Amino acid sequence: MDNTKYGKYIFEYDSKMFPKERRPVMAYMDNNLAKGSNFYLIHWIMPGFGMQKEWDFKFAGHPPHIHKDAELLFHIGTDPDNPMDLGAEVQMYLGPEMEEHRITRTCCIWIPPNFIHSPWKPISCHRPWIFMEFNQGPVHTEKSYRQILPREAREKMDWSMWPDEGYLR
Amino acid sequence: MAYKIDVKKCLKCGLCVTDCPEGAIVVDDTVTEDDGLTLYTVRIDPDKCTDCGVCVSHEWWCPAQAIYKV
Repeated sequence: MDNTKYGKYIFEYDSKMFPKERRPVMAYMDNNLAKGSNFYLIHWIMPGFGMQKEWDFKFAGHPPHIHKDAELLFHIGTDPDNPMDLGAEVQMYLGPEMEEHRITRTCCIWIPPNFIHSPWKPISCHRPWIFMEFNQGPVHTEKSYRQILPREAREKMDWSMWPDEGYLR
Repeated sequence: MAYKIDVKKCLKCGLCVTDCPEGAIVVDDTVTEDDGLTLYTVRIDPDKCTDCGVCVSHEWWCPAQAIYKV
């Protein structure tokens, strides 16, 4: 902490702050850290992260869930010569029907409140890229919808990694 | 009663039970699966439902879109 008046508004991070996370988290913010802030989580995705078999979500991939507030999922490529190329392929499922999408370009996925989304899984990555999760609410909320997954996928998961947050039921 | 729950679409999450402002969506049965997931069989109580329409007021009020107007 410096002695300036407004230095308190500059946040730096130690990756050890996020022991539960499975990727290098670069920045985090919510209403608990700075009153009035919404929830933001920004991290790198590196080559080798999350390359797993089709239904093995154990160390990557985020199972189906909803949030109370709208969410924006920014996928940002880092090639200066071709910034719209993600340098990776991400599998994303949308809706209760689990409609499959493949993300290979810089984009933002808009997730309305209570909209079932994921599994989200990086399935290839040949260049680091930046993933940003913004919730349009003060803190992170999450409710699992793992009942839409096939039984064999549910049995492979450690569900303690994905607790519900902010929901009564 | 003007609203019903499509039991084929319902994912038994129970969200509507806590969200209904009239408390008109009630749990008939609760089952906890092997992996700890609790599923709720729910119905709309016609004596409590005021036909306010909140439950169909926007596309994702029910994540399964299982509530509909009769």
